[in-house]
Amino acid sequence: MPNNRVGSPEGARDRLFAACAARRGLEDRARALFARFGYGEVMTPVLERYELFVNTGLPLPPESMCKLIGRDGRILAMRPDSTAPIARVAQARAGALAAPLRLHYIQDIFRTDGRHTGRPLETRQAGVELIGSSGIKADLEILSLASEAMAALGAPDFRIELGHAALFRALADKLGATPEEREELRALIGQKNFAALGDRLPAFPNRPVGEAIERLCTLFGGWEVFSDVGTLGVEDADQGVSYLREIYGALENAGLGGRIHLDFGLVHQMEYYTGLVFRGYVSGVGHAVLTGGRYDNLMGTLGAPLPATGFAIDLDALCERESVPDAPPPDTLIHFSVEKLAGALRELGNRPSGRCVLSPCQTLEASLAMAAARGIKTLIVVDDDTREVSL
Amino acid sequence: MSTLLRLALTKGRLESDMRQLLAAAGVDISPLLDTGRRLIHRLPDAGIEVVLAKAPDVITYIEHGVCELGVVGKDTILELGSSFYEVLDLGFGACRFALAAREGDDFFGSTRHRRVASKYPKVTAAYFAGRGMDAEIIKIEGSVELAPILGLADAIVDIVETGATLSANGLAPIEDICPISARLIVNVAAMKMKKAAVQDFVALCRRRLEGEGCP
Repeated sequence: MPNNRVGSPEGARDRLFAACAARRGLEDRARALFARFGYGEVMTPVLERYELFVNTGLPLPPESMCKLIGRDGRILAMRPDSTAPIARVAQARAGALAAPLRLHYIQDIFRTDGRHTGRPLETRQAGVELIGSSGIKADLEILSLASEAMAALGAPDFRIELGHAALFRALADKLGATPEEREELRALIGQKNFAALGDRLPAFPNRPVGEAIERLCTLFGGWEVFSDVGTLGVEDADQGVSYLREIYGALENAGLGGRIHLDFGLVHQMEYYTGLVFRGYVSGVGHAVLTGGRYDNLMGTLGAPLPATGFAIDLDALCERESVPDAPPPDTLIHFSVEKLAGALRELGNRPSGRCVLSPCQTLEASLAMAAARGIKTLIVVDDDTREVSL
Repeated sequence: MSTLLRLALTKGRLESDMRQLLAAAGVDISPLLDTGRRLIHRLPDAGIEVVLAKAPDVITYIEHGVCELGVVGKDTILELGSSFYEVLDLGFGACRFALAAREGDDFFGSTRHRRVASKYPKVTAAYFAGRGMDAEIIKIEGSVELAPILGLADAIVDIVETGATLSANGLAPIEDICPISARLIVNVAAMKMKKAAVQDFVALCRRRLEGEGCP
């Protein structure tokens, strides 16, 4: 006999019952919070032009996008990220919408990276974009919203770490590194590979800047990092540090201090972000569940330049931590004759949702047997009259 | 400080080298000496639980965050690694990646299509990409030295320690690719969520490594 079974694609997963309820619960909480801050909901198509993600500089290897060919022969990609699509929408509707734009989304992203890695193909994200505002108040709004979102999504033990894209960028500019060396150093800082940095940096002629870079990647934690960092000796980098100090002070003032940490060596996706960058962690999840930052150059790659900032939260990772019980099974069965369907539906409508189901059985005996097999305690019979039988 | 960390330790040579490092740092390693069939061993002195694993699994455990710390060779990191912190070069397990061919072969001088066998296809591809050269890579699971001998490949990329295995099989290293040694790696979330405990353990290892130099 041929085996006709078709399984789910690798990296995809099905969700049943309580798992659906858990994710919907998180989505509802995220949506309510974003709406309260004035962020309107946007849904964008799963399929986008492939160039959208390439031209906007999404720091993702092209092979990790799921691609197909569109009706017009162009390459389409299943969105690997929602920021570029939202930016596209913002550009397309700029005439109709007043800046600053506050947009939120709750939708899936698709990334395919390697086989048998245990990483998902499809991830549900909740995120916001604040487009058309720059400055500390916009950054504080986004960070406050990120903290509230983490708390609202059942992660009271969360931590958000802050960094600044200017720190590494300004120092690397002064170091005299080639683009290749710069990328190598960025990767080493991202890995906190102190040993390799210590070997690599003395080779550059500008020793003070090399030492500043080396110091940078060891500095993460609370307030103490501001005193440990001293002066980096490069104006833009020092400005980045004082901006972080201002942000951190304001958040601490607002009572968010304990949850916010600093990481001067936060250099992920450095060509994408232009200012503040941040990531959020919760216990029990091995990767960042929230990523975000300021990306003032992205809108310009699609048309009119506009400052922008935002973040995305991995809802699926947070779902794993939710414990929503499965709904209790039905305890009542309705046996009915076909001509009494209306009566049966009336009975169904009067019972608690989900606790009562129609019997598909032809005979009363079969319905009784089904009730017994399922542990159902009440049988309602709707034929010449309506009666309730306790079992 | 009562945060218990899990350390995934590559079985075999790195395991015994790491055991020595911990013992020298004053940690009671007796639970690691008679492991029997158990896979997890607690070292209360160092505040860690040790999980013995194959090298690629160490990386998987760290990436997924089921272990906070890992000891694994740079060879495995180069081949498989992506997102974790690589905080310490432990120094032991030292060797190198090298390109090797049959003695007397002029590998780079030939204009023929080049075939290279390796257990490390990603490392091999990155090496040839860096040289701006095309080469067909064949993944071999076992003794890679056989591939040039059997005529399957023109050269191999493999881990070389002394070169004795190469010369015993009529092969010679053509070029060193990069040095390799054991690394201490840390899960990114653990570095932030359990910073104090992670840094205590890193400091314990670092003190021992720095202490080794001076008598």
